[in-house]
Order: sequence, then C-alpha cells, then structure tokens
Amino acid sequence: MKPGITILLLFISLFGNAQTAEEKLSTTVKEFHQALVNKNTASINQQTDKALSYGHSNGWVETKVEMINHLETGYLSYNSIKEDSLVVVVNGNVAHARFVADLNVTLKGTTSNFHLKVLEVWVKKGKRWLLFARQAVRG
Amino acid sequence: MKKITYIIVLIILVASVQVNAQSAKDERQVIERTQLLSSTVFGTKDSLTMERLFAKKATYGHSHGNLQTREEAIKGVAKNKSVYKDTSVRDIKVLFGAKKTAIVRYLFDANENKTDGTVTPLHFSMMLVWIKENGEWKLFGRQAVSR
Repeated sequence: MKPGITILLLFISLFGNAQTAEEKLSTTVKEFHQALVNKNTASINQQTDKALSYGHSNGWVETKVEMINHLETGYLSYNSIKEDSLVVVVNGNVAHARFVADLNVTLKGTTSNFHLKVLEVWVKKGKRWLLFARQAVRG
Repeated sequence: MKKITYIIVLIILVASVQVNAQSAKDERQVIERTQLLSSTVFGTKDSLTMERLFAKKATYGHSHGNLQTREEAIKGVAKNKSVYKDTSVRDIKVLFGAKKTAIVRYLFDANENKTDGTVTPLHFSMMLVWIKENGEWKLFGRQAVSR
C-alpha cells in the first residue's frame, strides 16, 4: 500500500512540474524579443549562437556581431515587438518557432511599423536554447 | 616517452582530419539536398522526392507569408501548374549549428509561367533548415522572402 502511494505522489509531482520543452522555449523566445527591445546585449549575446544568421524581411542578413553592434550604436532600434500565434516545434536539440509579429522599428532615424511572419531556428547547447537563425517575411 | 607524445599528436591529427572530412561531407550532402529540393519544387514537382526530403515536423513558409505544414506543402507543389523557366540557385551558404543542424541560405531567381499565360519574375532569398535524421538530411523549415 505504502509504496503505491509513494509512486502515485511521485507521478503527481512529476506531472505538476511538467512544463513541456515547447512551453519553456516559448518563454525563452518572448524573453529574447524583450531583450531586443531593451537592448540588453549581454542577454542577447548569451541567447544567440556565434554563427547566428538573422534575416530581415527585405533580404538583409545580419551576423551576431553586426546585430549587437547595430543595437548598441542605435543604427537599429526595436521600439516594440508584439508576437502572436507563436508555435514552437521541438525536434531533439533543434527547434523552430513560427509567429506573427507587429514591430515598431527605428532604422537610421526612420521609424516604421512592420507586420511580419517570422521563422526562428533555435538549437540546444548544454542546457540553454540559442537562437541560430531567423528569417522574417512581410505578411 | 617521446614515442607516446608522437602517438598522441598523430591521434589528434587523424581525429581532426576526420572531423573536417565529415563536415565537408555534410556540407556537400546539404548542398545536394538543397539543389534537389529546388529542382523538385520548381521543376519535376515529384511528390515522392519531396516525401523523402521533408522531415516529419517540417513547416514551409512562402514569400507572401503563407505557411504550410509538410502535407500541405507537398500537395501544394504537386498541384502547382506553373512552369518555372530560367531557374537559378546561387550564393549557397551553409552554416552548421548544433550537432546535425544546418542552415542554408541562397538566392533563387526564375520566371514563373502561369497557366493564364502571364510571366512573373521571381527573386527570392531562401532560408532552409536541415536536420540529420537516421543519417539523412531532412528539411525541417523553409522560408522564402522576396528581395
């Protein structure tokens, strides 16, 4: 009887904690977007792979160094990022996130609104998910 | 003692050569798969080839923002009546991320000949995500963007 209850309790505690990999990564993805808005480059540095390839809706592709540099110099500022319909698919140590996003961006002093559809590719290294590639398209 | 040092150096050298050979092989395979995908989507439209190329959880994004699942994408390509002429795949760049993950970026150009007789020039930047499953590179994600 007692071992039965113990096992039952163990299961309950496991399910209670069971936040899926998809849910965890969804949180990471949203936090990353807020780090872009806040220009938290220390966090962006930690959350992106060194081979990052960050593609914009006009075909422009930034490397990790360029992306951080453009935020720090004010060349590019994300004033707000609001993601919607976020869907995360995890496949082992790689995942992709698809979402619709409304962005308010200032590029070279000009502020514009964008309605984008975005594909982000995240890879798991150690315990951390890192953004590896991103491609946006106007939609 | 010296002998041991030589042996260790030799082992490290052989190992690093093998790692390089493996990544060169992976890069070659990923480029081949990319070219096969492009010639299938914009050429033969063969659904069996696409079934082999697509990972189970693949998603397929078009330049106008439309997003498809694996099944929708394969059906969509097979049903597509347009003929693509002057197709060109160039500037292929391969990036390897975590183990068994590759991103391919390239430029695609073509003239789309629709059944109604109109011709539309296409200029896309493509991003593909390839993952290695059971020793084969499979398409996990695709996003086209007009440039």
